[in-house]
Amino acid sequence: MASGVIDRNNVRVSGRGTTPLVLAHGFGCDQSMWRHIVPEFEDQYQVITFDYVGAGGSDLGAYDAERYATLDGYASDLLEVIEALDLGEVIFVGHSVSSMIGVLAANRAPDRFGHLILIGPSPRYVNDPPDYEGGFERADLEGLIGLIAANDLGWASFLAPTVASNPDRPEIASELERSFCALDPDIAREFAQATFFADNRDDLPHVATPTLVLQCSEDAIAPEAVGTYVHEHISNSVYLKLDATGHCPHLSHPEETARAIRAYLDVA
Amino acid sequence: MMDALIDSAPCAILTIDSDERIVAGNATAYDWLGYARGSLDGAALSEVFCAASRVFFESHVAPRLLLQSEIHGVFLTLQSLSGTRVPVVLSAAHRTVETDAAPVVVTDFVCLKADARVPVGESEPASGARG
Repeated sequence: MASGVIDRNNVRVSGRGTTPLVLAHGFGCDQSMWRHIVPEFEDQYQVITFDYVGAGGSDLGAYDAERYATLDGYASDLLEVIEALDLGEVIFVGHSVSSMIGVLAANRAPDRFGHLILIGPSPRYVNDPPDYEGGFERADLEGLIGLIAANDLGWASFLAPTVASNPDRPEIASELERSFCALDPDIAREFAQATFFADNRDDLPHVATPTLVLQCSEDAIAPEAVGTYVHEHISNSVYLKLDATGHCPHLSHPEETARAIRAYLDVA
Repeated sequence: MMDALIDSAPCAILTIDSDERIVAGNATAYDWLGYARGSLDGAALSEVFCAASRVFFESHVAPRLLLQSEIHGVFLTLQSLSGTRVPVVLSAAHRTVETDAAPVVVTDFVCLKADARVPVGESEPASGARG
């Protein structure tokens, strides 16, 4: 079971500390999005990264459409990774959809989570007037599913067979080996549905784990009002707005992101 | 000669800074997007995407650009000031610009019209798409 989970989710462990810090990637990428953050914490923590099934180096054969039809299936994977490594209590850092996956997992096994650090969280992307503005209409997000389909051929991992038939162009092969964020397009489409049509608002008040909400400036996916909503509905939470713009501060502004996480943990 | 070509080439060219703010655009980009020349300076790049493309860009394209410094052949839909949709195939790459202070990295986007390959689900205007 343990090695099965480790292989299934392509789990990587590094660092010289004893406190486990689990970094969970968001939708659209894989664990490579933590590459600037991991070295920042290896001196003090045991750092764990992994790929959700369908992303990066995960075992695509382990994909089960029924299990992963909702975020609960991904929360089960997270709990199984923690169990397989016998981590005890972890500090969890989740980006984007992984924020809600972490919330679900922490509500199911609160003794496994010492802190939740949520980067760009959104409990619901679809607007629900008049009281809730997630930022998107359902039709917008259905368009997203179409875009994922239209861009099927764009992802390097799926071009690999073509490269193999072009032995006179070895530079292409090395280019592909450097590619990040490999995703299975069919799984990505279903992950998008599980992510963008989820409604986890009712899960927030049940979170007892101390939580840091990290909100980016001008985040086109998770607007500021959504970040403050998460903060207001998790009673034991701290809200911090980063100067970093965009939706991936751990990639675009890793120093500020790491500093914010460390500052929170130092006083927590 | 080359400047004139870049300005009027049949592709939209936009340059953004590290905060995803538009710092330059060619005449074709302004023509397709329906803005007065120069008026997009300082605007967020997300302003010129329709909603679905905005999410796709931030979730799929931006991380790859940050990790690999370039990306090619992405189907996305631009949205003009009046709401007209412009399906494009986009390539983007980082470029280092020397300044009086430290060098800065900008990102250049080149967009070709891709009307024959309208991404599924993006051909019809969605409600509340501008935001």
